[in-house]
This record gives sequence, C-alpha cells and structure tokens, in this order.
Amino acid sequence: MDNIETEIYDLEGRHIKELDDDDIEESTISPGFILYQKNKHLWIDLKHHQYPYILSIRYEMHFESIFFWPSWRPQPTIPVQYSQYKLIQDDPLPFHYHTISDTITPERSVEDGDSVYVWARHNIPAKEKEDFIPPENRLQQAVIFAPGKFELGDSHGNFADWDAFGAWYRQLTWEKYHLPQALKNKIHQLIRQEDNPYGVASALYRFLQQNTRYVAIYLDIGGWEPHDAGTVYRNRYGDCKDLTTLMIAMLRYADIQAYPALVQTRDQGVVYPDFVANQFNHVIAFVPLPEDTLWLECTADFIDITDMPASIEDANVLVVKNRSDEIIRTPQAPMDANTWSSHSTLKYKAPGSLSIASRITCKGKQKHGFKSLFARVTPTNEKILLQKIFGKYLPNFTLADYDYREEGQPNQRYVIEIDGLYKNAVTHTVKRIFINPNILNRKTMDHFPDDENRQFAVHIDYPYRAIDTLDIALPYGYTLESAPEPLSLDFSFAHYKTSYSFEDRKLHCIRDFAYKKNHIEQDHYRTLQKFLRKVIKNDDTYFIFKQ
Amino acid sequence: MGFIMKRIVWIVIILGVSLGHTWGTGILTDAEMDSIVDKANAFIIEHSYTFHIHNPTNAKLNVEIRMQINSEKAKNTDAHC
Repeated sequence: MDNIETEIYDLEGRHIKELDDDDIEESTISPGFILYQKNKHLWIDLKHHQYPYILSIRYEMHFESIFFWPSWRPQPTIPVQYSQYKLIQDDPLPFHYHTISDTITPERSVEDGDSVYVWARHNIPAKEKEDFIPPENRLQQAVIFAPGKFELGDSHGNFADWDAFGAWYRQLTWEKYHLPQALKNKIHQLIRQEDNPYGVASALYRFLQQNTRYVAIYLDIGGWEPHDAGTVYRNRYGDCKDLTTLMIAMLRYADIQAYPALVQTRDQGVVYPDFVANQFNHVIAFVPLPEDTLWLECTADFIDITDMPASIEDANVLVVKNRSDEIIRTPQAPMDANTWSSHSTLKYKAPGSLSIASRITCKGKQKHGFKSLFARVTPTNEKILLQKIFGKYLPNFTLADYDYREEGQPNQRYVIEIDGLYKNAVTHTVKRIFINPNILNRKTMDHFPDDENRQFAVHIDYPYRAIDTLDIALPYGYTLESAPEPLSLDFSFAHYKTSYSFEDRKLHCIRDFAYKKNHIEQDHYRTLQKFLRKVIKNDDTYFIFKQ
Repeated sequence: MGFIMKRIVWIVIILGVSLGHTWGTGILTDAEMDSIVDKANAFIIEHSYTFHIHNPTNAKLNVEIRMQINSEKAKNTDAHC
C-alpha cells in the first residue's frame, strides 16, 4: 500500500488538518487461528473535535496477481450518496463478474487506448442489520469479479469453469501426497485389525486427530499451496489444506478414494455455484465410501468421524477429483443428531434454595461443543466454566461436584453429571413459594428476532433438540395453586412441548424444544415470532405452591 | 481455519457510526436520501475505486472516500477500505 493521504475539511471546504505519517500505526496482526502471516495492517485513528466535518481519504494498493481481484462493496452500515468502481485494462483481458442484489451493468468506453468499465450507484441506503441474519445476506450489494486467467506464484490457472479451477488446485497439490516409509509402516499397523473401508477411515482419522495440531503459517502463496504430506507428518502440525493433504495421502495409501473439497465456511455465506471464482476460505476431505460419503474436517481434533461442524454443513463445496470437478452441497445433520437430554433431581432447601443432581447427555454438535470446551480449559477452570453454563439462568449456583465422560460404542454420547446448589432459586412469601423449573434451558428475548420489516430468513447455527426432565421435591404442606399451561406447538421449523404433574409433593416437568431447521425462510417469520413469544412467556412462568 | 488470500497490506479505518435504524437494500430517491443524511451521524459523500490492470501480475487499486461526520455518536461503522 502506498500514498495514504487523509485530510479533514469543514463543510465550506476549508482545510483543517491532514494526517502525518506518525498518525499511521502499523502492525503484523494475524487472525487468532494463524500463527504467522506476511500481512501488515495499518491503523489510523481519525478524530476531530468540531462537528460536522468532512473526512477525505486516498490510498493505493498494489496487486501481484489478479487472482485477488478486489470486489466492489458500495454499501456499508452508513448511507452512501455516490459510489463507483472503475476498471481500466491496458490490454483487454477476459473476466466475468457477479452482481449481488439487483442487476447493475457497467458503462464501457475507451480512454487513452485503455478499455474502461464503470459501475456506479447513487443514493445507497445503509446496509440492513437484522437479528440472526443468514451469513450470505450480510453482503447485500456488491459486484465480485474473476479473471479469465491468472498467475499466482509460479502457477497458472483459469476460471473458465469449475473443472478448470479444480485442475489448477489439483496441479498445486499433485506432488504433495507422497508418504515417508515410517508413516506407511504406521498405517499398516493402524489398519491391521480393520476389515472395511469405514473402519480404516476411522482409524486413520483418529490417528490424525491425536497426532497433529492446527497451526497456520502463510508465506508467499502459502494461503493456497499445501505443504507435502511427509512434511506435515514430521512437523505434526499444519493448516486446513496441510492436514487435509496428509489425511487424503493416508487414505489413498490405504486404497480408499479421497479428494480435497474447497469450502466457503458457512459462517461466511454460500458459494454462488454459477459464478466461477475464488470464493473459498477452507478445505476439507471428501471420502466417498461404498456405504456413505464422509466429509472430514481435518482441523477438528474432537469431532466424531460421522459428525461435521456447522461451518461445513449445508455448504456448496468444490470437490477436486481427478477430473470433472463439481460443486456439491454438503449434507446437514437433522435435529435428532444434535441433542441435549437432561434428567435432574432437585430438592427444596429452606430458605429458598434448590439442590440439584443432574445428568446431561449430549450428541452431535452439542457433544462436540462440550468436548472442545473441556479440552481447552485447565482443570481449575473447568469448575468455573460449568458454574457459568449451569448458572446461566440462576446465577447463584455453586457446583459441589461434577464428572464428564464419553459413553457408547464408539463414543456415541457425552455425559456430564453435576451436583450443586442454586441459592435463592425459589421466591417465597409467608404462604406461597414460586418456582421456575426452566433452570438449564429457556428462551429469552435474546433469542427473539425483532425486526419490523424483515427482509431475510432467520438463521441459526444448526438444527438441534433439547429435552429437560426435572423432578423437584417440595416441602411438606404445599399444594399446587397455579401452573403454566402445558403447551404443544409444532411447526415445520420448530417444536415446543411442555408437560407436568404434581404428586406426593413432587413436581415432575418435561420441556422439549427443537429447531427442526436452522434456516427459516422469511415467509415463516411472523409465525416464528408468534411461536417464540409463546415459548418465552411459558419459559418465564412460575409454578405457585400454597401452604 | 486456513486458506486466507494473500494480501500485501490492508487498511482499516475505524470512524464509527451509530444510526439507530436502517433503510433497506434498494436505491433511494434524492428526496429520501436528503432526509436520511440530514439525520445521519455520518454518511459517505463519494466512494470511488479505480482498479487498473496493467497485466495479470501487475495491478493497482486506487481508493478515494469522502465522508461527512455529523456527530460524535459516529462509532463502529464497517465503512472500511
């Protein structure tokens, strides 16, 4: 970057001040998940004490490859009176572009022999900010570009079609799958007992998870070209493409077909399948087994082989096979694969506390979430973390004891057991006590998408189901005076069901909530709001017992 | 996660705007725009990108932005370049 100039003017155009080079701060920040990156970040803190004022900024950026062709994003979170993107080419090169939101066509001309295109817009409103907006709708107006051909480092490629782009990535990785003899010997040892491809893949995936770590170091075209499998094995670390390359190399050595799949992680949006361009930020392994296809996230150390993180589910990915590369939509696990199920026994402790003994069983992403958390915290912090999680809705929670483990074959579920005390969990008057049994899960206004004129779908990370069963022992001499109405709500996108009974001074409650879909179309928005209002109200209603 | 594109240098200019509400994704009339910018804590007067490709391995992006800051409430905009 060169020639950064910034100035401040008043509204009459009088120059007030300009920034010195000393006002520009430089740092070599890498994102948290990258150990080293050659990028530099420049920060300018621009302030003036008298309003209003006009701020003017100019700068240049130099590109050594048009692979990284900058897009036009004319709509920030403030209104824009005029925005334009001018493309000048010394020699006309083939390129294509994709318009996000409504169509906008460029004006073409020739200036001093150069080919010129201009995209322009007046009066652009600020970008919509909606609660739970789908990642692909965060960018609401843009033009994105791709060159017909490109050079990156020593490699040459083109975006004629997905097959052509896949061929370029194949060329970058072609020589990277050789394994050292020591690893070949290890693979023989690992798969000796396995008699089917799924067992072989599972053994190798476990080996990868237990023996490598995610570390990214980017130099030159390191953002795209993986290290060879032997180096990754020796280093015991790598980024997504390094670890995926090692996994694919091991699978292929064991006679299992496996290919890299380029991904745009779901939190960043969805790849436009009709626009052939660099739309990817991640890579995973595609393993088409006879029984089922596996999509392996090779940077995740704690996920089961059949589970996929939400970041790569329901995503358009480019599978780079030996030829005929294509965009495929990855599958998404249903709600019943991502479950939380708790059984809790609670006892009233005067004056107003509740003791709890709870067993929580998690599967799928709920399990992965806990497993990753426990792997990352120290034993000292485990207790603090659990107190925070289980004290979310009743903050005066003291955890006395806990345990967690994997159960089932092979490691199907994660079980957490807690023992503790919720102080002041029960409100009481002289003759009445008030109890809200939704201690572990409840919906609040934080979960409510509140937009008057909703433009986009509602998006959460993944479908899931949470069932809480509680038995609460009350003191002698109390009868049930009032209770929340048992609800049974069922829609195509979610369900909610509550039930209760009170017998022998024991309150038995069941709450069952599920998001059947994680992407709820705008057509259902009002229904979703009505559904959530009822859920939130019901979750916040107390049982009242009278002496 | 990996696979980040190579960028030589990137600049983030944090100015900040808190507008309180939004105005949709379409295009506004001049009158609508005038009404909005009167109330806005900040708005962009003109934002221009010029991408000049000399050849596939040599290109330059020139960016110019002029914005009006109306209030100290202008915080945390994503108006970056």
